[in-house]
Amino acid sequence: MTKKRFQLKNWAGWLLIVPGLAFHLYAVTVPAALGLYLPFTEWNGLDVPKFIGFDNFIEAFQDKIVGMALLNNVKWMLFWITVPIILAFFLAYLLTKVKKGQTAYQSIFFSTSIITVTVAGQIWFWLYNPFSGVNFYMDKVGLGFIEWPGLTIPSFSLVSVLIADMWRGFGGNVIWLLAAMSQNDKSLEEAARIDGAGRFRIIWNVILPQIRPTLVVVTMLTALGSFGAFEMVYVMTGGGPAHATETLSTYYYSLSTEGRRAGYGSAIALFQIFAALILIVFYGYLRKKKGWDV
Amino acid sequence: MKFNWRHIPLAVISVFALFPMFLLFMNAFKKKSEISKNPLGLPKHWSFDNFSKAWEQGNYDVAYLNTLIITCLTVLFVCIVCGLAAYGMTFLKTPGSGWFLGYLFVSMSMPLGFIPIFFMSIKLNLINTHMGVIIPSVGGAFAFNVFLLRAFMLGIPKDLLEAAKVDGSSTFKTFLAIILPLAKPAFIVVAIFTTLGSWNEIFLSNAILQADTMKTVSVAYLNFTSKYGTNWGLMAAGGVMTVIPMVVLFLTMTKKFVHGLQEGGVKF
Repeated sequence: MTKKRFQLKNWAGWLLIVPGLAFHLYAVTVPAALGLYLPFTEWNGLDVPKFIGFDNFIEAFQDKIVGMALLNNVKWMLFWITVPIILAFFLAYLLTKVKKGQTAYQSIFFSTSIITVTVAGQIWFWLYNPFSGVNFYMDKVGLGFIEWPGLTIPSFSLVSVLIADMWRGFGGNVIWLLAAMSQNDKSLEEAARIDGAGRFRIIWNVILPQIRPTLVVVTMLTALGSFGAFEMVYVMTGGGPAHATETLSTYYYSLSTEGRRAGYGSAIALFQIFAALILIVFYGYLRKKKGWDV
Repeated sequence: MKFNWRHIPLAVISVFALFPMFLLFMNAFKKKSEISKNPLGLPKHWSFDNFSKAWEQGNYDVAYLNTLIITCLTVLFVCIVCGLAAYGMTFLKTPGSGWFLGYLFVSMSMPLGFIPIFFMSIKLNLINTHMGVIIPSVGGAFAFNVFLLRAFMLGIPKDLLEAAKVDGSSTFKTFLAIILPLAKPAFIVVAIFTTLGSWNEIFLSNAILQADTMKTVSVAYLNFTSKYGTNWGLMAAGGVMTVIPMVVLFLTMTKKFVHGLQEGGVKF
């Protein structure tokens, strides 16, 4: 009798999970399975997907835009795992040393993230505008020689978009790193100072090792996100000029929404999943082989 | 008292963060002619013309309604389904929940399957419907929020539930009477971040909501900018109207936002 009731309770647990699981299946599991099958098909979303073997991959490897997009994603990652994270690290470090206004600074830094990306992109689009934005103002005060060419010149456009994206996203990192730092053992720092360690030595040898788990996770999530970079690019340049800011996501986005090419788009989306897998394996390696307790 | 030099770099970065938003708000109150003369300063004549014009030309009434429907339903569904699932996994000895958690964790690191979702929506006639955005948003947010709520629920003492069970409270009643009130801070965090995410979402919404009458404010603003791209005053006013609800939410709940992020950072 008791055993039967126990089992009944057991399965009641799944009844609570099932509603959410249904949403999850529709949004994550089924798309993941389809995402593995669709790359081998030609499909416009109307009839049944037609199996065509590896044709999409052959096309993708010959497609120059795919290469450019992948390279942009790598650049995007290299930028994001360095500049904003180092900036966030030092801001968090400075914040541990101020007594007043910690929360105020944190909310100011994070406030940019609440701005809808379409609006954030528009603000920066305007700032970069050669006739009305910052350049115009610089001209006025006689600094016209440092013209920022902004979005119109291919070699500058990716950096311009990245700066706008960093503006929008760096605040969360500051908050996370500060949360990790404020859990640090203060006495270690004190001891190092008494032993005569300089400021940078303390940062490198005392603070950094203590927040390494958080730092690794933040870097990891940032790198993962970089391969899905979409919103700011789509809003500011749409991938242009001449595909100079195209990322994998913006490319398969336009392939599927405008070109209705589900198969080919999915093949390109696989590159993104592949990059994610490499990063996850690397993360697992750090955890196991290096013994990083993350 | 000695001045702390660390406020200088912190203030510089604060200006970097706030200045673009300041520009947006200031330019929204300037006439077109004033912006070209005075792009970065305070408006000399405060005017609300841009707002009324943008409201009409951007179809903001319809867009606001769509956004409210999508955001409210997404938040509601997320809180219900994630709360129930987290409860089931934390307190009932559900068989296989360990494996399920592992699966959810893996699924979280995978990118959103945009193309399959988009083409599934075409097949299932979910294009230009609110549900076409709500269902994938809830499903996509499920794993993360279950983790967040579960982490919080683990801190609730089991004795309380045992006591409730002894008193004859049913599984569901225990959830409503004990878990929900105790886990309220976690639910609030989930709700505000889901609101923010849903309000600002464009990746799916832009593809699925194609008709002008179905667009959310964030997506509608894209259209608006491409139509009136040279009128900065109008654009700025539209932008302000797009972000103002989230700005107000943020200003009233700043502490919740910051603490929510801190907790999230510490937990992972």
